[in-house]
Amino acid sequence: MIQQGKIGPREAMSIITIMISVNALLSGAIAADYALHAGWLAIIVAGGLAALGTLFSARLMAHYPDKGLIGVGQEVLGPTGGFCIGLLYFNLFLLASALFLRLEADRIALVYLPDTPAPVLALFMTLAGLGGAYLGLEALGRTSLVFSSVVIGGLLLPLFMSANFWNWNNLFPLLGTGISDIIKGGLSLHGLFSEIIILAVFYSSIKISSSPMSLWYQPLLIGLLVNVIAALITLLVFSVPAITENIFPVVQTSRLIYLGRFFQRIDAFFAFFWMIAICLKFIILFFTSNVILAELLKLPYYKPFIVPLGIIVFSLAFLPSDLNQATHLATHMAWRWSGIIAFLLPAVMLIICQLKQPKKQTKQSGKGKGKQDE
Amino acid sequence: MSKLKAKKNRTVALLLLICVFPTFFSGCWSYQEVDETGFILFLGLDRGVENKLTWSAQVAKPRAIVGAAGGNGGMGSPENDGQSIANVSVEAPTFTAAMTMMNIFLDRRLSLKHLKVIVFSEELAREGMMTYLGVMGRYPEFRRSVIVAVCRGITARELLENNNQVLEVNPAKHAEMVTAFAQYTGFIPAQPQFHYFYNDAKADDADPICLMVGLRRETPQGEGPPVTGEEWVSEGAYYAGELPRSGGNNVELIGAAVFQNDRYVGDINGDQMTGLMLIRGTFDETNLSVEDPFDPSKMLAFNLTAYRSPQFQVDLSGPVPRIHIIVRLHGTLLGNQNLSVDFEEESNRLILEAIINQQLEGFMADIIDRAQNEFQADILHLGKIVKHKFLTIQQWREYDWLGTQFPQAIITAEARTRIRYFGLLHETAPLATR
Repeated sequence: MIQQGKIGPREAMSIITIMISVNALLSGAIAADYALHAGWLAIIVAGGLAALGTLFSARLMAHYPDKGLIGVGQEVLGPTGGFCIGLLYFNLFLLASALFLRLEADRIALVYLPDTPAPVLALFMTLAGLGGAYLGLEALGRTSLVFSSVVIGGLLLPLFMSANFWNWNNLFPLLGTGISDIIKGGLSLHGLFSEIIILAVFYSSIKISSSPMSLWYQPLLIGLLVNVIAALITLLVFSVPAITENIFPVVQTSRLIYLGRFFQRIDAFFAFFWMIAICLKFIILFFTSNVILAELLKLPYYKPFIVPLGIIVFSLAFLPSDLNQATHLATHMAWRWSGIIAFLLPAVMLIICQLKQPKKQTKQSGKGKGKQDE
Repeated sequence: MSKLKAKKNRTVALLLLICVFPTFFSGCWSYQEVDETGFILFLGLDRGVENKLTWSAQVAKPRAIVGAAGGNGGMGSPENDGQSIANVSVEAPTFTAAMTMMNIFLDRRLSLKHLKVIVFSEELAREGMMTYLGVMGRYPEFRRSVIVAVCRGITARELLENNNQVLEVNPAKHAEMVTAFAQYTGFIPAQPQFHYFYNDAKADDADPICLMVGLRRETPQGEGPPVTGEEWVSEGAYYAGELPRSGGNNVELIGAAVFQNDRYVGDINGDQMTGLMLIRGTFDETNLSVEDPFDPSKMLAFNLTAYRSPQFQVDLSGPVPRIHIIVRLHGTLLGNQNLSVDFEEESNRLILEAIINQQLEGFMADIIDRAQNEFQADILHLGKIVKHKFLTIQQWREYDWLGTQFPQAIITAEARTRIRYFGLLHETAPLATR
C-alpha cells in the first residue's frame, strides 16, 4: 500500500465536488445536443443513474475499509483479474488526464490567450500537474477544501449575473426532443459524474466518518446541482439551436454580463477562478493515475512515475487532431463510456464479493463446527 | 501544533501557486500593449465595388478621448486633428481579410475586443446578415453584446463618416447611451444586441429585429410638408432620417429594421416599435401625446410605464390560432393644453384612459398587421408563447408556426392603462374670466 497522508471526509468531498463541477463549463451545450430544450432534464437523469452506480461503489468499499479500489479488485477478482481491472482504471485516468489537458489548453488558448500556442499552455499545465502530484493527496485535499466554494461560486455567480439575458420561454417545449431522448441523453451523460470513483481509489486514505454515505452522495449532489443550474441558465440565455453550436456556454454567458455601463466585461475576473479549477482537476486526474499505477505494481511509492507519466500524458494530449475532435472524444466518448467503467465494474465486483462472502462464512462456520465437534 | 499548521498552510499555498502559474507564464506570450492596439468601436459593412465587401471602421484614438474628457480635448493638436476616432475603409473579399488589409496602412494592430456597434447597409441586410454575423459568432474577439444596426437610405461607410457626437466625447459611451434610450423613449429596440439577433434568426419561434439608423434629412427644419388645422404628427411616427429637426448628432435612431430569418424585409417607425415592445414585454417607459377628447385642437401628454408583463390568451383549438394580448400600464398626466376641464375627476380620468388605450391599441394593431401581412415575420415573438402548449419539439415543428400558422393567426391586443398620477397638481383650475 502506498504510504501517503490521510485526508478527512470534507477534503475528499471537496476533491470530488470540484472534479464534477468543472464539467459544468461544457455540459449544458452537450446535454442540449441530446434533448434540446430538455438538456437539463437529461443531466438530472444522468445524475440519477450516477447515484445508483455510486451505491454499488459505496457498498463495495464498505466491505474493505482499509483498501483502495485497486486493492479491492485484487482481493475480489484475484491477482490476474484484479490486475486487469487496475489496468483498466489506470488507462481511464491516464487518458482522461491527457484528454482534459488538451481540451482545456485549447479552450483557454482560444478564448483568453489567442497568441499563446496551446502546447505551451499544456506544457505549463503539465508542469503544474507534476508539482501537484509530487505534493500528494493531503495537499490536494486541503487545497480542494479551500477552493471548492470558490470554484462553485466562480461557476455559478457569473451565470446568475446574466439574469437580464434570461428568457424563460427558451425552456419550451419542456420535453425537448422527447422522453426517450432525455433517457438516452441521461445514459450518454452519466460519465459526467464518473470522477466520483476517485473516492474509491483513495478510500483507504480517507478518515471515514460516522456517515460514510454522505461522503459519496454529498459531492455528487452538489456536482449535479452545479451542472443542472449551469445547463438551465445557459439554455435560458441561448435559445435552441444557438445553445447546441456553442462549446463555451458558461464563458459566452459570462461575456454577456452587462449590469450597467460600469459593471460589464467582468468575465476575465471569473476566468482566473475557472483556470485554477481546471488546473486543480488536471492535477487530481494525473495524480490518481500515478497512484493507481503504483498500486497496480504493488509499489509503496508513486513519485518515480510522476515525470515519465507526465511525459506520456503530454504526448497523448496531442493525439486528437483539433479542438473539435478533443471535445467529441471528451463528451461523446469519455462521458458516455467512462461511467460504465466507473459504475458498472464496482457493481460487478460487489456481486462477486457478495457471492464469495457466504462461501467464506460457510467455510468459517464449517471450521468452527469441526473444532466444536473435536 | 502551530508548526504543523504552518507547514500545511505552506503546502496549500504552494499548490495554489502551482495552479496559478501556468496562466501567468503563458500570459506573457499573449500580451497586447494597449498603446499598440487599434480598438475598433464602430464597424460598417457595405456591398463592395472593387471587391466583395466595403469594410469601414471607426478606430478609437484613446489619447484624444482621454484628453477631451480631461478638459483640453487635445483639440487641434497635430496628433489627433481634434477627433476621438479615425475613419478608415477598405475593399476586401471577406470580413477577416479586411482586418488584415487594414494593417497594411494602419500602424496599430486592430482589435474587435471593444467593438460597440456594427452597421449593415440595406443592400447587404437584404441579402442576409448571417453571412457576416456568422463569422462574428466564431471570432473570439467579438462579444455577443455588440449592437447590430441597419442604416437607412445611405451606405454604412457614409454613416460612419458622418457619425459625430455633439454632447459626448467618448464614442464608446456615446454608443451605449444612445441605445439605452429604448428604456425611456420606447422608439428603438430594447434588445439590439447581436446575441438576440443571432438567437432569433436561428430560432423556429421568432424573427429578429435590429436598430434602424439614418442620417439627418437634407430638407431643413420647417420646410417639410406642413400640418394644417387640427392635424398633428405623433412623436414616434417618423423613420430614421426623417425627423424635422436641427442641431444634434447627424445620426438618428428611431424604429427598427425587420427581418425574416436574417433577411431584411422592411422597417417600422417609432410608434410601431412602441407597440412591438408592449407586445414583447420589453417596454419600459415612454411619453405619449394624445388628442384631447374634450377639445380636438388641443393635446395632452402622458408618461407611461409598464405595470406588468403582458398577458397572453392562446387558443389553438380552432382552425387558426387565436391570441389575445393584454398589456397593462400606469400613466401620469404630464401636460394639458386645455385648462377648462378638470382631468383629475374620476369620470374624466376614465375618458383619458380610454383614449390612451385606443392610441396604444392602434400602435399594436399596426405592428400586428404589418408583421403578419407585410413582413410575414414573427417579430412579435408570439411563437415563444404559443410553443408552451407543445410538449416536444417534433409536435412544435409539425405545427409549422412561422411558415403556416403565424400569418393566418387571429391576433388582438388590448391595452389597460390606469392613470395613477397627475403630476404636481391635484386639480385644474380654469383661467380667470373677463
